[in-house]
Amino acid sequence: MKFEPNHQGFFGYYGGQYVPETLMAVLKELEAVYLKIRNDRQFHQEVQYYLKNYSGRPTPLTFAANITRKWGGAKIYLKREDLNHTGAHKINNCLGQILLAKRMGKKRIIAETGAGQHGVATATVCALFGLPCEIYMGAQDIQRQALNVFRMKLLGAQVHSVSSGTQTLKDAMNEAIRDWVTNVKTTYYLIGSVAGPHPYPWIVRDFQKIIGIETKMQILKQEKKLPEALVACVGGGSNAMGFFYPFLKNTRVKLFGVEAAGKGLKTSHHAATLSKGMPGILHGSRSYVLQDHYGQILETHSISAGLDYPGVGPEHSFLKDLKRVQYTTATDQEALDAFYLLTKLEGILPALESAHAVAFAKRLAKQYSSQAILIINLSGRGDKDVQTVLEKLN
Amino acid sequence: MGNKSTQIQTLFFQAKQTHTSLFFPYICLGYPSFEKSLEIAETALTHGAHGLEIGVPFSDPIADGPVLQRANFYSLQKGTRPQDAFRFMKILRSRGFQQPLLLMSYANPMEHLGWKVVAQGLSKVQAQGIIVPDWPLSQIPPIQNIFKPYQLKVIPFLSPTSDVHRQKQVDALQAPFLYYVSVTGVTGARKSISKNLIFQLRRLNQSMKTPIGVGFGISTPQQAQRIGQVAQGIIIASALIELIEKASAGQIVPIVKDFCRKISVAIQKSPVERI
Repeated sequence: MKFEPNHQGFFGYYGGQYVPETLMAVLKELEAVYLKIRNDRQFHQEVQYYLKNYSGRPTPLTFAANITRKWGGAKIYLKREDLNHTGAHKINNCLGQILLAKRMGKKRIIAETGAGQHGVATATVCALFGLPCEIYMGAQDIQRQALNVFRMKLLGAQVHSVSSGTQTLKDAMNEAIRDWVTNVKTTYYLIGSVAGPHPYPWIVRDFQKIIGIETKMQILKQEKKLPEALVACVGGGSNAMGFFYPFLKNTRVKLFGVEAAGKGLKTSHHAATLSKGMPGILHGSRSYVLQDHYGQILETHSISAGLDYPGVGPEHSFLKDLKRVQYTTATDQEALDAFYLLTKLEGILPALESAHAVAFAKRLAKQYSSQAILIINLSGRGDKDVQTVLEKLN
Repeated sequence: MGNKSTQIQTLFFQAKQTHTSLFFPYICLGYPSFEKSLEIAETALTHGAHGLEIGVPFSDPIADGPVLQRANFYSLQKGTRPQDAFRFMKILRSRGFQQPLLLMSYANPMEHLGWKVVAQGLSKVQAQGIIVPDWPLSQIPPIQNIFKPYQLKVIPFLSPTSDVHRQKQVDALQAPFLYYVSVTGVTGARKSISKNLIFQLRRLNQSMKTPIGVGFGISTPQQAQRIGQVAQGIIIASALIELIEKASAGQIVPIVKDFCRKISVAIQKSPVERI
């Protein structure tokens, strides 16, 4: 099985470059530069240097003894992406792409953000490399993630509030694309997920696959065998894609992607794109999309801003149709319960995004014996969500 | 009815030979209402428009600036559906308007409807083709194949960032015209026309067989006149929509009439350059 995009940027039926003509030249340039540096040892050494000395990689693989005991099934391990600098896996991709942008000679960086994690990571690498940075963020997200907005500003980024449409991640991405199409000659668009037009889904997955590569080495060292299953949350899907990718060919390892069921799949308040959507075209690629009967993109809901998105990376759609990954969901309430549980039992505050993966793992663990190993990708830490959780408690 | 796409093809190729220019205003379907947008279309076609670009509103119009975003949003709130475009065109035909009609939409609503359904719908109302700003050049041939039996055309785009290779690809499609995006950016009025744009259009006119329609940023009769000297078509969207947005309900028709007249007079007056 081939898991690389074809020459037109398609993973099977999904992907491609559905963008205005003005952007085609820069996508071609990006692809050409990336093809060159993909096998450039010096470039990879540079990325490695920052991942290790700046972000603190490798991140640990933590055996979660207490929840393992509590759940009474498979042995639970946590891949600790929350321990990265800036508190989530997003920095892996940002470090790679900022070095790429520098190679391309771009002078200005723009990005979209939902929860603010990618915005913070982008602002961070821009501060590090001295490049001006502008972040697009939905007005609604700006309200619910005030702390991250302040962090971005401290880091020197300009944050644009996007008040069009649903005022969330989808609209922030629309606005970032509009900026990009206007300033295409000088500006590098640092996309935060495995979404967008080719070659982004491919590039972002490549920069995130370090998660899965490390996990594989660590579990082989600690347990002398591969895990039975991997669980990760899926919004756009970059943490899941990076985590799963190095295991795709190990067909005995079951892979589970967990989407946000919000207030329930029977309501319209969810963000379960792969579970409830159908193929469509959004933000430059063909993938599953939440849309109405007339092809208009639907409003989504999730307690976690990072999963509140009506699209998903094209490679996930490809893997869904192949049945290589099983996509499932967890509700807001299940995620909150998992947030409390992990905090109390393991002393680890998960991001509400990652808490969706923990919630599903709870259901899954019981189906396995105590010999089995289940690894959850803890994609980010939950400090940013404390306010949201507090509001829920009141 | 037998040669719909040749009608628009002929118009543009004649424009190229005779050094004249055609005016295609953009109508946002259902903005400010279905009935009103129909009235706007009739007014435009009666007062100088050579054809229309009829836009199906989309929830995420990434190529559009604030004015068209608002119009799209408003029209969707009113419940406009992509299928309404066919009814819209049918009414225009039944009222005797014979000019070329082009459907403008983003990729997702069209793909969701199904390209064959789109082709059948457009064919029934003798429309000439479709304009999809987020549909890439490389993916046009498969759609052309579906459209061919219905004599419909896909209008390709070129922009200031397109290279010679892409110009050749566009010529190979034998479209009635190519849609040239005058600026790197989104739709919306611009204060001035750059000298560089005029230079680029002159060059494209010489090197390419396909006639050129220019859109994005044209808002005044003076700008239309200047572009009309170096291109075969003028597409105006945001400037017209903004006038409609600011007008009271009773003023919309007279304002559209006045605007379309001024533009069409301006491009007729273009002292056309011999290229």
